Amino acid sequence: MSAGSGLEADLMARYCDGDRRAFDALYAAVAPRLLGFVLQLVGDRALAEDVLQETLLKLHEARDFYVRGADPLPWMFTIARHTAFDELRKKKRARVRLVEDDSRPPPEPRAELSGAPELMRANDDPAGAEALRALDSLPPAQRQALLLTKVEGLSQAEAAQRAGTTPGAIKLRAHRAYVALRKLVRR
Amino acid sequence: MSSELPPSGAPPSSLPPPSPALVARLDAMRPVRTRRPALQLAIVALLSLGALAALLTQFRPRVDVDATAVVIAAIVCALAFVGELWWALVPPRGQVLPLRPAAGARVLLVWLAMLTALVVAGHDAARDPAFMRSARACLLVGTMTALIPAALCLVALRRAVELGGWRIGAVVGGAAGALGALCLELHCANTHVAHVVVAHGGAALLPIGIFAAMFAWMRR
Repeated sequence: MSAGSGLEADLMARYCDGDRRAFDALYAAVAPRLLGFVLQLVGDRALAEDVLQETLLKLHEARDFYVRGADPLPWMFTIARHTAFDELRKKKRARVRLVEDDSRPPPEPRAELSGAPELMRANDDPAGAEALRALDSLPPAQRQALLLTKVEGLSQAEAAQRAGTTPGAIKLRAHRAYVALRKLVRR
Repeated sequence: MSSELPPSGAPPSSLPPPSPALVARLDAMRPVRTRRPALQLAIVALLSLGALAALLTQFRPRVDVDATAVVIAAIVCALAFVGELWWALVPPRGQVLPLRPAAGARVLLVWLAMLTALVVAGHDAARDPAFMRSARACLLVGTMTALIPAALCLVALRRAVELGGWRIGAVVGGAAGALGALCLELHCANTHVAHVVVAHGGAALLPIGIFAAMFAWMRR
C-alpha cells in the first residue's frame, strides 16, 4: 500500500469510528479524484456532482463493510462507477421515453466531453469536435478504458484497478473503443 | 497491483460541499463495527457444516460402498467448500471487495476437480432402475443444502452484491454447491457414474448458475 492509500485507509478507519473530521479530510483527499473519474464517465458536470453525492451517501451507508487496513480507494471508485452507470441508464431510459412520447429526435450528443483533454475540447476545431462526438457516442465502459489508458496514460493494471476490472478487460475495451472511434471518425 | 491512483485527467475546478442529506447523516453518525472477513468465514463455515451434520442425521447412512473412497471424495468437497468460501468472503490483501480475477473460470475448475473426485470415488454399480427419480431427489437435496451457506453469505456480503454482481454470486454458488455435493457424497448410495455426473455434479453446478444470475439481477 502506498503512503497515500495508507493515509486514506487511516482516515476511513477513523470515519468508521465516528470521527467527523476524518470524513472531512477523506472528502478533501478523495472527492476531487472521484469527481474527475465520474466526469469521465458521464461527461456532464452537474450530473457528475449528483453522482458524487450519491456515491458518498452509498459509501456512508456501506461503511460497515470496510475492512480495516485495506485501501478504500478501489472500493470507492467501484461504487462511483456503478452509481454513474445507473444514472446513465436512467438518463437513457428517460430519453427513450421522451422520444416515444413525442416523436421528436433525441438531442444531439454534446460536443464537449469534460474527461477529454483540453486540446480536443476546442469547439472551433471541427476535427476535434467530430472526435469528441464520436468519443461521446461510445459505450461508457469503452470510453472510460480509452480515456484512462490513452488520455491519462495509466498502465493497464492501474486503469483496471480504477475501473474495477481486469487488465485484460481494459485492453479489450480500449481496443474496441479505438476501432469503433476510427470507424466513426472516418464515416 | 499498485493501489496508488494518480489524480484524474480532468480535475474539477471547485468541489461541491457534501449534500444536505449526507451532512444530516454525518451529524447523526455513530461508530460502526467494520467487517472482519476471517471471522465471517469461520462463522459461515461452522454454521453450514453444523447444519449439514444435523441434516445427515435425518438420512439413511451409506453402508454399501468403499469408505476410503467416500472419505477422500468428501475431503475434496469439503476443501472446495472452504476454499470457495474463502474466495467469496475474504478479499485479496489490501482490498475491501472480495473480487477475484477470472472468478467464473476458477469456480468451474474447482467444480471439475470435485466432479472428478466424485466419479473416481464411485464404482460401476448396476444402474438404478429409478435413475431419474433418484437424480431429481439428489438435485433437490443438494440444492436445498446449498441454500444454507448461500443465505449466510448473502447476509455477510449484502453491501457487496451491488458492486460484485455475478462474479461474487458465482463464487458463493460454487461454495454452496460444494456443500451440496458433500451432503450427497455422504448420503446417496447410488455411485453409478451417470448418476454422479448428472445428479451430484448437477447439484454442485446448479447453485453456481442460480446465484450468479440472482446476484446479477440484484445488482440491477
